Amino acid sequence: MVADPTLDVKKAWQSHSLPHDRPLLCCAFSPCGEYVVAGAQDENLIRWNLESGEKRLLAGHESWVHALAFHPDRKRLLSGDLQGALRCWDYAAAAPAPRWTTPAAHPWVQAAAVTHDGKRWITAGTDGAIRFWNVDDGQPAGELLGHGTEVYSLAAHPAGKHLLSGDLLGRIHIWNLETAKLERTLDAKLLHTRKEDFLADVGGVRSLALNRDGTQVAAGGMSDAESNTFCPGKPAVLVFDFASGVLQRTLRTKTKSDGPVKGLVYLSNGMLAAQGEHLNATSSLEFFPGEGTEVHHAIPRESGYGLSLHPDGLRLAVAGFVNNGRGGNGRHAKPAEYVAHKGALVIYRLDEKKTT
Amino acid sequence: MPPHSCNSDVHALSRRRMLGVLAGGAAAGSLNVGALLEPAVAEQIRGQGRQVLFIWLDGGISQLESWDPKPRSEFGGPFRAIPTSVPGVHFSELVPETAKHMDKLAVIRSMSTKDENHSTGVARVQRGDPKNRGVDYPFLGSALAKLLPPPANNLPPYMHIKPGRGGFQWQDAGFLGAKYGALTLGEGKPPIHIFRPASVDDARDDARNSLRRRLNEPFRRQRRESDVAAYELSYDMAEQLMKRKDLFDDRTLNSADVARYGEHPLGRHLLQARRLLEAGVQFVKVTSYHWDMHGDNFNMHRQLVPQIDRPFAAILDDLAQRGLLDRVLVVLMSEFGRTPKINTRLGRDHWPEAWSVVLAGCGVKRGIVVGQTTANGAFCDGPEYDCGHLFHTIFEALGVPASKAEYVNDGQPLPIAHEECSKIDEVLA
Repeated sequence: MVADPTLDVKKAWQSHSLPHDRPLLCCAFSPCGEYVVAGAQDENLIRWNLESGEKRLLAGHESWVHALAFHPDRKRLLSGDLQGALRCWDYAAAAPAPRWTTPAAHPWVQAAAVTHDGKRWITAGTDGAIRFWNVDDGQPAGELLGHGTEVYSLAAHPAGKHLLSGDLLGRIHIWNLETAKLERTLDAKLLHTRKEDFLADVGGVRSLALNRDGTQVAAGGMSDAESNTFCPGKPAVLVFDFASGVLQRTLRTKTKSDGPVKGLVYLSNGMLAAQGEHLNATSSLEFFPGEGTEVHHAIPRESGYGLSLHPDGLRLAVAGFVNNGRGGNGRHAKPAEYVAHKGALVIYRLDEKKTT
Repeated sequence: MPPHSCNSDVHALSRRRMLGVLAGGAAAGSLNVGALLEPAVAEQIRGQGRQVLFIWLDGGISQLESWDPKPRSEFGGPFRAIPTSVPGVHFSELVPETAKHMDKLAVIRSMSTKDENHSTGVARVQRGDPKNRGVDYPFLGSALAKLLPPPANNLPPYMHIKPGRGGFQWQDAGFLGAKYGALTLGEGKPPIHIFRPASVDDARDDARNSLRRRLNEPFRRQRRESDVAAYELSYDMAEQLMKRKDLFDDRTLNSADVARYGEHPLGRHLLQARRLLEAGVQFVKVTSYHWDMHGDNFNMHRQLVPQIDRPFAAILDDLAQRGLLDRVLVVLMSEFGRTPKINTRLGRDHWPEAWSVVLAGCGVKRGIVVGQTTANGAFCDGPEYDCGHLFHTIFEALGVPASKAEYVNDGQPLPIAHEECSKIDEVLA
């Protein structure tokens, strides 16, 4: 993709806010550019037609959908949930139904991708495994073991030879897909915290992104978690040189947030977009230039949990949270007023708003 | 000048240093009150030999991710519910081992308490949230140290296993006076001073203790009785523990037990609790911190809940196999539940409105669920129970008639549990 000359994140504006009854956890634009899909804090997979705005619920999952991957054939979509099920959809059908379902790919499916040749879906989960599935029928087609802990993120290298996977302990494994061997590991341990009195590991590589030519690897998460309860930390994005594995930059958000960066994408001009989380407060969508560590632009907004870039390179979707009344510690809440928070898929255009 | 200061020559001998660390905390307590149980009521207490295992998950375990799952509901979260050993009763999939023991449990799903704050909630809940009468009520362990007949084994009646440092928690005793406080075993380890230096033989030890007692006498004459009683009790405890070093010898642990309970703090501490209960300690409290998942609730519960599920199931198994479940009351609880509403950090906050407590063993029915919550889990649906109801129920299960028994504190009668609450009959065997 060649960077559109009109791309200017400082002129970014919100073009759509597509509502849902629950917060959204992940999102992806279809490669055809006509749809955007999202997983939510319910059992639905949601598809919106970008032109008409039509919203359709793709039913069948029995837990939250947390992982999405589109096939480059522009026909198929893989979704994975937190009960471990995978479903493959004809996503553009008028009423999409699953082509096939795999009920127990992992305990939780945390991330999904597709091989460069389009022959295999790739999934990663809380069992520490990376698994491959035939795209046509969902049959198992191999696995990569070696993390030994929960795997949160996946990224297929654009050259097709390598797969990157990020885990709870802050390791980014680089796998050679031709040999099915672990080739090397990038050290992102800054994104993991386990103090002596913690009962659990906190943090991890919650998001991974590769730039257009695959020379840079960005890993999102948070550092310096203060506890395993509130899990407050400092949002961080680590940028590595892919060839050497050297950490080049540690990026910090400009606006106060205390959760991990789960939404992370490279724009076509080489900038990074990162979305944060903040406990019961406003977070931000921030843009970092291709070099240096200063934030180029920040858009204050609600917490978000996933990002996707449209094929045209000019639209960015955030899957996130919409406040719906009092939450937080409490008592004496009125049952009629005590309802779930909502969600929205917010689309930002990354060029100047045209006035009519 | 501190209220305990008397300017006597005794202090020239550095009394605190001589009396040692076991009593160190007690010296700071406010001990100007005594407490007595009405004699007639004391006669009625039939609790001889009854014991308590009190497991405190500091903060709050999510009821939705444990004892009251609501899968696929408005606030249900991503986990599924699984069947338990009692048909029709389901737990979260995060507690598969405990689910196998539901036939031993009484689960109260309609706890509705008053306090959503940590700073006040811990003491408020563990004191039974009595009416404010201007005195500090005792924590449950201290209350039972007072209310139950003393065990014949002379071991400290109230022992507390917790992460971090140990010591003597005199504050738990409230108006009862410091001697009803908790002997706290940091990391489950014994107080270091129970291990007598090799250079001190029996004769020399006897001489030291004799000197201590002689020095105590003039001190006692110038002090309130409860102060000295606390010091003396600390030494008595130490002497008893010196005879029971075997209770803390990890070399005697069965490796299969260590594996069953787990090597994380809760696993180790519950296994230590089992040893103390087997030895006859009357009230064993096990505290686990960090149950307060305001952020990343679901990943954290996935990591933490197994740390209580496995050892809790193991100790239920062991108590049952040893025939101890008939005389040991097991209580598993937190300060409150967690909000059904999921916050911006995918966390759950504090929710005293509707949450669950698990009981098992002595005096309670087995295999029952009491109370229920609304379909979305947010509110109680039917009768609600507060800390006072829970304390009445615990006391009754142990043979203490809470509706009749009173403390007498400086002549002031004080109910042992909130007088506007009552026992939960459905729970009691």
